[in-house]
Amino acid sequence: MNQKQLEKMNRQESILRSLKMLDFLTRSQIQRIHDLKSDRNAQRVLKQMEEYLNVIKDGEYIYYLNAKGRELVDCNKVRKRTGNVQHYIMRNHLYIAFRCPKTWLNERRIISKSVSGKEEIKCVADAVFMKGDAHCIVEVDNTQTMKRNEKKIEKYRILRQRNSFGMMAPHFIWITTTEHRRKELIELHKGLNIQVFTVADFI
Amino acid sequence: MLFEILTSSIMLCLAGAGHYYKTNSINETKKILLIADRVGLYKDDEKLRIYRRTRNKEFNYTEYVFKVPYGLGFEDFQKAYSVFKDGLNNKSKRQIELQRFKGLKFDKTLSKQIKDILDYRMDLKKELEMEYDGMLRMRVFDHGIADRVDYDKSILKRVKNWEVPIGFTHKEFIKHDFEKMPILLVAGMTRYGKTVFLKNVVTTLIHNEPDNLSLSLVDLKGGLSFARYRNCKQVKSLAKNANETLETLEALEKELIRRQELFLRNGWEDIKEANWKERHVVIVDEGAEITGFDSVQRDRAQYLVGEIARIGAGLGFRLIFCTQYPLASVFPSQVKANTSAALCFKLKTATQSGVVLDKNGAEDLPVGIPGRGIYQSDQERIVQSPYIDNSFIDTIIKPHITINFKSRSEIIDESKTTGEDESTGKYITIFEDAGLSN
Repeated sequence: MNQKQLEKMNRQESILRSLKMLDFLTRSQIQRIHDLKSDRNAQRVLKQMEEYLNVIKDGEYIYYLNAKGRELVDCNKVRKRTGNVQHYIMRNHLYIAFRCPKTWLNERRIISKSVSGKEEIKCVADAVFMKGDAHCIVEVDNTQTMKRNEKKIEKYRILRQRNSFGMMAPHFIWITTTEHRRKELIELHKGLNIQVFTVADFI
Repeated sequence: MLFEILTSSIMLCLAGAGHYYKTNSINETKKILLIADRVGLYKDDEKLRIYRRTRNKEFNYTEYVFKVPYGLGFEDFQKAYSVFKDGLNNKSKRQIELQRFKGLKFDKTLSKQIKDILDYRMDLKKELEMEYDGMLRMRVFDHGIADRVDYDKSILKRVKNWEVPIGFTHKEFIKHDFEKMPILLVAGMTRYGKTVFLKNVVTTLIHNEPDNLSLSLVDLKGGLSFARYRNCKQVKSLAKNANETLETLEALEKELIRRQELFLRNGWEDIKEANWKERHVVIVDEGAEITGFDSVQRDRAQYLVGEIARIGAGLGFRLIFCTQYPLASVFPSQVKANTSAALCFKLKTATQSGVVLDKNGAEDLPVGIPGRGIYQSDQERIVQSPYIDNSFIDTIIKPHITINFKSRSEIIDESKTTGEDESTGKYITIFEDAGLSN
């Protein structure tokens, strides 16, 4: 096998691995994560990988792993074409915006309980990563109601008071759909470190 | 009949308005030319001549370009600077503010109230700048220095890293960079904005460098003004009296020596070369109180402050020394020798001004305007430093307050005795994979 083929396989595998990690990716997101330069080149590369990928044609092409692809990167999680693909896509926007942090982990459950096991609080963050010593908590607000967001923020507030995130104040990073919701979220987070983006920031 | 009354009343209105605008609109160009004429700035029959007049909307000033008559130089005009400035500020602008009619009270003083409104003359505070580049350029700023500026988010956006806002002159925003000038002297009479300025500094630094900042606050007024920062995670110690002050300073000196040795071992010249992001800011409020300690403590404290000033800068220490009563005996000579920047609010006497700025001036600042001061670094400027509201401080520092409300010395004692990991409290936190499939 010559050098060129090896490089090509390496790139294909790294794309599959990021799909394993991030579930769904649009073409432009793959392009940005893997530095595929022009649109045309990206389309060519992905076309060659056809046999490992499933595609949703929804405006832009959205890719996810099929059975053969999962086998290649040893992935047990089966993804299906769902209605809330947009949720994943929005989260990926943030992943790219924060320069693909190595500590990024999707869907982390944070459990805090007292030593005796009582007063348990459970909370699932859409993603968690570290910025220096500080935790960053990523939340996607796509189709949720504001009421649910409020409850979640209240939980985070308690977690913070319990020092669950260590000595450094945690950063909360939200992505939402409209300018109005952005304002509302900032209002809800009074006293916490927060950054809110809208989808429009990334398009 | 009706028609006649209507038309004549309209005519009357127009005539009145015309007269109002005619007497009210001051033609600055004419004013300047007139002043120049009267001061004697002309040669034979050649007078100062206007060449161009431009209005700058962004900075609210008008620039006049004049052709200077042969035989006169820029210096002649500079000599007359104050004449021009006073002439432009001649209290002559009559301003009728319609808003004020709303507040009228209908009683027998009504006619007097209306007269007051009509006769109201606005105070002019124009600022003048002169420059010569073949033509004489005069810039007339609409407003001099504002009497009060409020600290808000827009100011916060204009400083980054280790910069703090000093204040506004009539045209620009002045900031102080602790990376370039590590020691800052602050002096001024009581109630003239010293403590507010210190709060500005602390809040700005906490906001801009929350993770790299550590603070030691020495407040010899009893710790009241810094009380709100007590629980911020950046604040390492808050000293309120002589004993605590010495304790803090001793700890700082130990740290100084430790760093010195560490740097020497690694061959670093200063903190920049070591590539440390952390900076330790030491703030001494009411430094004059140190002279009130008993003699042993006083000498020790002054020596330690001097040490921090002398060798601290390269090791990442920043010092703000602040006093109401600047006398040569109050400033440790090491602090004085190492400062390159000073902010001086109003002072009582020229002697005090001499101690801080090495020249007179601070005693001539206007009475009753807190926050007005002289900032001296590479050049000297009169600034208005912004007023920070306590509720604004709270919104900025709230994310950085640690939940433990015990004082810091207590925490240290506890960790010594129990030795257990107290940092997480009695709660255990687990991060696990939620493993949600779709």
